[in-house]
Amino acid sequence: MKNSRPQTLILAEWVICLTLAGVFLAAGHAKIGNPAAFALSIHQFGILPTSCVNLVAIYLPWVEIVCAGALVFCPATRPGALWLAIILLAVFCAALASSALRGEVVDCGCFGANGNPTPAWNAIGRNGGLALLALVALTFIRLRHSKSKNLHLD
Amino acid sequence: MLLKRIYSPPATWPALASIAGIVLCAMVLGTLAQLASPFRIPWIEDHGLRLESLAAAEGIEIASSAEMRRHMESGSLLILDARSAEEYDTGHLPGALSFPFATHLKSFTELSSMLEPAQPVIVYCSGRHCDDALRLGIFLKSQGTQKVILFPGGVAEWTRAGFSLE
Repeated sequence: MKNSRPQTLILAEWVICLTLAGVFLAAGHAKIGNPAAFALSIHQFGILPTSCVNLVAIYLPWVEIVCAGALVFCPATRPGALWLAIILLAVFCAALASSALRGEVVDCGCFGANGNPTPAWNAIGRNGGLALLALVALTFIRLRHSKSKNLHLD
Repeated sequence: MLLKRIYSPPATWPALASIAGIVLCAMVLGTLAQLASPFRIPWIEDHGLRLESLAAAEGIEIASSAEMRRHMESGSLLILDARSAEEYDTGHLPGALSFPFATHLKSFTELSSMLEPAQPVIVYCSGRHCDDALRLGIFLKSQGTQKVILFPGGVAEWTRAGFSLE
C-alpha cells in the first residue's frame, strides 16, 4: 500500500511521456518527409530571417524525434527532454500567436504541410495542453525523487 | 511557485546537459539526413524570390506594383484576391474580387468554372510570406485559364508603394 503512490506517479509519468513522444515522433516524421514544404511553412510565419529558414527546417524535425526517443528510452535524460519539449511547444505557440494576431491564415506545418491549415488558436490550444502535460510529468518526477530521498533518510 | 519547485538547482545542470545532448544528437542526424536524403533542400535559400521562381516554372507571369496599376487602368484583367473573406473585407486592391484559396477549397471548382479561359487574371494575397495567390494561379492554370499574372508583393507592397485600398 505504501508503494502504491510512487507506482501511480511512475505510471502517470510514463503515460504522459509516451503521449508526448508519440506526438513529437509523428510531427518530426511528417516534416522529414517533405522538408521543402516545412521550410515554406516556416517562411510563411515571417518571423525568421530567410537565411535561417532552411536550417530550421532541416534540424527541427530531428530535435523532435531525438526528444521523443529520450522521453521513452532514456529515463535519465527525461527531465531534460521534458524541458526541451516545453521550450519547443512555447516557441511554436509564440510563432502561431504572432501569425494569428497579424490575421494571417498560415499552414502551421505542425505535422508537415498538408495544405489544410489548422486554425492557429486550435494549434496553440493543443501545444499549450501538451506543454502543461510535460510540466505535470516534471512535477511527478520531482515528487518521486523527493519521496525516494525521504525513504532513504528514514 | 510550481516552476520554482520543479526548477531547483540540483536538477538544473543534468537537465541542461540532457538538452545539449539531444540538440547535438539531432544536429548530427539532421546533417547526415541532409547529406543522404533524396528530399534534401539547400542549406540556405533566398525565400524572398521563391514565389517568382515557382511562378516562372508554372508559366505564370509576374507583375510589380507599377505594372499592377497599369493593368488596373487598362481594365481588361480580372483581379482576384486569394486571401480570406475577412482579410478582403478589411481592404483590398481596387476592383478586386474575393477568391479565398485557403478557406473555400470546396466551392473553388464551382467558382473557377465561371471563368472564361481566355480571360486574363491577376492574383495576389497578403505579401511575400503567403503563397495562396501562387496556389490560386497554379489552380487556375490547371483549369484552363490561359494568362495568369501573379502580383507577389500583394497588399503589403501595394500599400508600401503608396496606393490606396478599397
